[in-house]
Amino acid sequence: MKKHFILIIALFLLAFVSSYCFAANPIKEQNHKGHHQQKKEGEGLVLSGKVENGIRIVEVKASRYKFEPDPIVVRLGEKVRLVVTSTDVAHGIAISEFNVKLSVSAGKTERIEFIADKQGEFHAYCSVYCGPGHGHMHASFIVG
Amino acid sequence: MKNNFVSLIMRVSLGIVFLIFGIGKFKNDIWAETIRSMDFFIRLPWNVNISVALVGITEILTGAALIIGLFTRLFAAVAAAQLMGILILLKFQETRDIGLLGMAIYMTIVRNDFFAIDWLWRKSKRGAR
Repeated sequence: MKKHFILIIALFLLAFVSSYCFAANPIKEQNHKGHHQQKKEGEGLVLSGKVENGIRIVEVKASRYKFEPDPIVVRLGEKVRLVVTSTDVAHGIAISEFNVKLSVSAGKTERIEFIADKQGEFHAYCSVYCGPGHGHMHASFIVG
Repeated sequence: MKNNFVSLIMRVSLGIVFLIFGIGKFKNDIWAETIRSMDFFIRLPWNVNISVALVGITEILTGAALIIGLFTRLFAAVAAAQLMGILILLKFQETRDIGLLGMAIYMTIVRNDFFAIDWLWRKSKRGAR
């Protein structure tokens, strides 16, 4: 019975620790898969899109279940225009920290402008349910 | 005895899923944003943020209750109802939830209070031990 007791305590501990870890660091976890190396190099990041009339225009392609480019890299303080095209079903793009929220119907292109006034790596994700992989449709938004 | 352990693992793991997803709603995760963009929630007569909070609170309560085993069958039924709702709203595309729904239905029907708070008020407790 003692053995069972230890096993159960361990199970409960595991339950709480894992729920804490997953809930606390959803972004960190995803980064393991993707652009880990690029992140390490730091300065080696390539800025996304091009600057026209003082606005950085980044064309983003949204498809099941990814964004291209990923990561999206911009300079601090820049005015950013995301031009998002959906190539299959309806998608969206959201970056909470910059109040970015955009819905794109299937095959359409939509745009949104904002100022990248916070430095760091942020979490861009699909905001419109697009199928079973929706929960994992993320990209990094890096302001450096 | 084996059944007890399987039931315990099932209960705790379903609880973890609900707890994580519930906490996520308050961290403004991808699903919180998804709820805000869904027609069903937009049409409700109150603000979508209230819906997100309500869903989050229900999920956290369900998850926590299942993990500690408090009113297991009641909360398993609540979990089943939520999963049914998710499946219908997402047109059965989120197939993994069908498995979770199966677990929730099982726990609603089969009573098992092994290492659950429910054990405290089992009627036959004093007689049996």
